[in-house]
Amino acid sequence: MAETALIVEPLDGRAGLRLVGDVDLATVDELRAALAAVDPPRDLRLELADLHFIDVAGTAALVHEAARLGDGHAIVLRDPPYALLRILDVLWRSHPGIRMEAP
Amino acid sequence: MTASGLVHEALFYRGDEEYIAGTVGFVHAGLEVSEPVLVAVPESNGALIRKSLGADAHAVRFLDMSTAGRNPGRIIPGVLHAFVDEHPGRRVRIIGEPIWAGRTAAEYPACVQHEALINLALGDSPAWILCPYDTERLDPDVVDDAYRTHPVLVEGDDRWLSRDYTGARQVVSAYNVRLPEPADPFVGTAFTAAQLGEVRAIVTEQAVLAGLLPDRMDDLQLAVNEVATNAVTHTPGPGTLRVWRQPDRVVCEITSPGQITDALAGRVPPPLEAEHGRGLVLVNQLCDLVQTYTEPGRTVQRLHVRR
Repeated sequence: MAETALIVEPLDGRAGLRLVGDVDLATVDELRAALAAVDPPRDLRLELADLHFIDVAGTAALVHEAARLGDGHAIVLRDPPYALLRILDVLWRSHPGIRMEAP
Repeated sequence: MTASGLVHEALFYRGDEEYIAGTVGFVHAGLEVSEPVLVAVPESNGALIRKSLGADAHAVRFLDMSTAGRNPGRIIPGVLHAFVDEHPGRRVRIIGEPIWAGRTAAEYPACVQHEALINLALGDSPAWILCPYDTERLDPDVVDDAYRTHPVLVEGDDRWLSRDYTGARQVVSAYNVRLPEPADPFVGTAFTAAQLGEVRAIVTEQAVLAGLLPDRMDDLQLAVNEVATNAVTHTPGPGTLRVWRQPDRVVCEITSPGQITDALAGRVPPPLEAEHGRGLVLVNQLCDLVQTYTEPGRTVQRLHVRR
């Protein structure tokens, strides 16, 4: 069984990040480092179709990043996994600064 | 009656008439002074109250405690605290019935710990919480525990201080009981921080074999991952996972080489800006039952998700 892996790539042609793999204890620091490199104030688009799993600490990193982006700016999610939506719904019911991409 | 702070009472009743007599007046008194009222009781009892209130029922929030509170560990954060937080600065009234005749032996310790922890978790909350106990159908031992967990007792027109009221930590400790070895065959593994993916894979495989629906499979995976993460974060690890299937559920047991010393772990969400402390709140919300046994150097947690 391979260890958990996470790849964070910049998006082609538009500002944002693609997450591939799993965010858990073994990989959350990679996520945090990628988020820390984002320069506010701006929106941050996240492509998540290939994110298979994310835990509470990873979600907390996104929530804190969203707060850092500045007033009127947000993290915009595309194809988030069930895990992320479930964690946000239970622990950050009013999750300011994180929204779904409009279809 | 003080203007602020918790009032936590047990109401003893026999039969529908006494139930209605003990609860509906409490609701009316709250509505008369515009206090928000929540009724979180098993569905059939909720129907009794609703019918008796008639048109006034629309002003009351109703929850079916047998689903909202199926896992006793989530009642404080998910039902009680949540309602208090919805009405900041206002006194609220809650009828909460967490113990009913159908609660299993596996669920019962968590039920008593929950009742005890109300006094600790909500001690400063402007809430009047009334907990009905069916003395006709519950064991006398259950009623005795109600005397220990409720400072004030109510029966008919009588209201009195409980001489057996006991501090929350002592009650929690009394019900911190070793969990019996499973009778069912199990699979498992030891794990470190790098092997949480394998933990999730084993859980998912067992959940598929058990026929859990996809969302419940994901909930189980999330919950086990959080407890397993705690096992290898707060302690030197490794942790141990065991998983077994029963006809109606999957049980995942995580053993960690550390002790849980925070009596309120998993009951009170941390402030918004806090970095840690949310994992067990999530686990309590997602699981149908969380059993915990903890001692110096070892904690065993069993997470149940039903089909």
